[in-house]
Amino acid sequence: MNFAIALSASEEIDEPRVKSGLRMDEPAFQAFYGQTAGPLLGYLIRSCGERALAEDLWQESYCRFLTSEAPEMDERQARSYLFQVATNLMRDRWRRPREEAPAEGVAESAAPEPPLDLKLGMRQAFERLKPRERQLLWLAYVEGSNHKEIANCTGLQAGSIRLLLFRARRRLAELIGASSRSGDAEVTK
Amino acid sequence: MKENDCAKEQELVAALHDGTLNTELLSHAGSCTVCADVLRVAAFLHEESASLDRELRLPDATVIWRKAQARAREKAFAKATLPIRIART
Repeated sequence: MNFAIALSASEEIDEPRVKSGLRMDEPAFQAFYGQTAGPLLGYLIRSCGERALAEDLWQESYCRFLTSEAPEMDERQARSYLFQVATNLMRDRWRRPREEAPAEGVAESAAPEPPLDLKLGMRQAFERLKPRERQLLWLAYVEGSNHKEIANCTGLQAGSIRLLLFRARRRLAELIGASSRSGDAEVTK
Repeated sequence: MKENDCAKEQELVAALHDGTLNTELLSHAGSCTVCADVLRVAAFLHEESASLDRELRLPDATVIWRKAQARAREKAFAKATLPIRIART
């Protein structure tokens, strides 16, 4: 394909928005991208644990977001929807045969946990969580999503988010040595 | 109250996200297991996020925009030519 010609042709049909086939016009996207690009890539990198894969999913998330036929939404809803698209793409990737999936995907199953080492670096500690746990924690504490938004994004039941979040938080707190309180280990068992 | 539950948890999370954490919430977190963990984990994740922000080099939005435009054209073309392709098969 002649990319230059393709771009030239696209400029002719870029406006109005209806003709572009995209859900927002370019200036609106520039602003939206400025608000979401870094946070979304951070979420994907830390959830996937694999940077190249995260970057692929990140670009694909924006393409799917822009070409989706989802109804009009406000800025917060659009951001939440973008993260939902990215989360779905991650899940699809993990569902592929094992040789194609990232190593972390295997941890979605109930694999026996290695012994905890409280001296682990914080980033390493986070990487030892299951992918779903990383997603929940990131959405809750970095994105500031409420339980309903997390449920929408991950496809989990809204009523189960509190407990799942508690377990993930407890596990990470243990991994980073947050807790030396006696009896805490019992909570996660 | 359950061991994994605290009424102030959401308030604490919102305050952390908005940067409005006050001494009352901090004091509460000092005596609440759930909120102490929230505070510790959230602080770690915010540092992770800030660290990524510093190191990430993002492409210009135009790159993504052009790619989405191409995708939209492909979709439109596929939709428009669907009857022809069906008739041919």
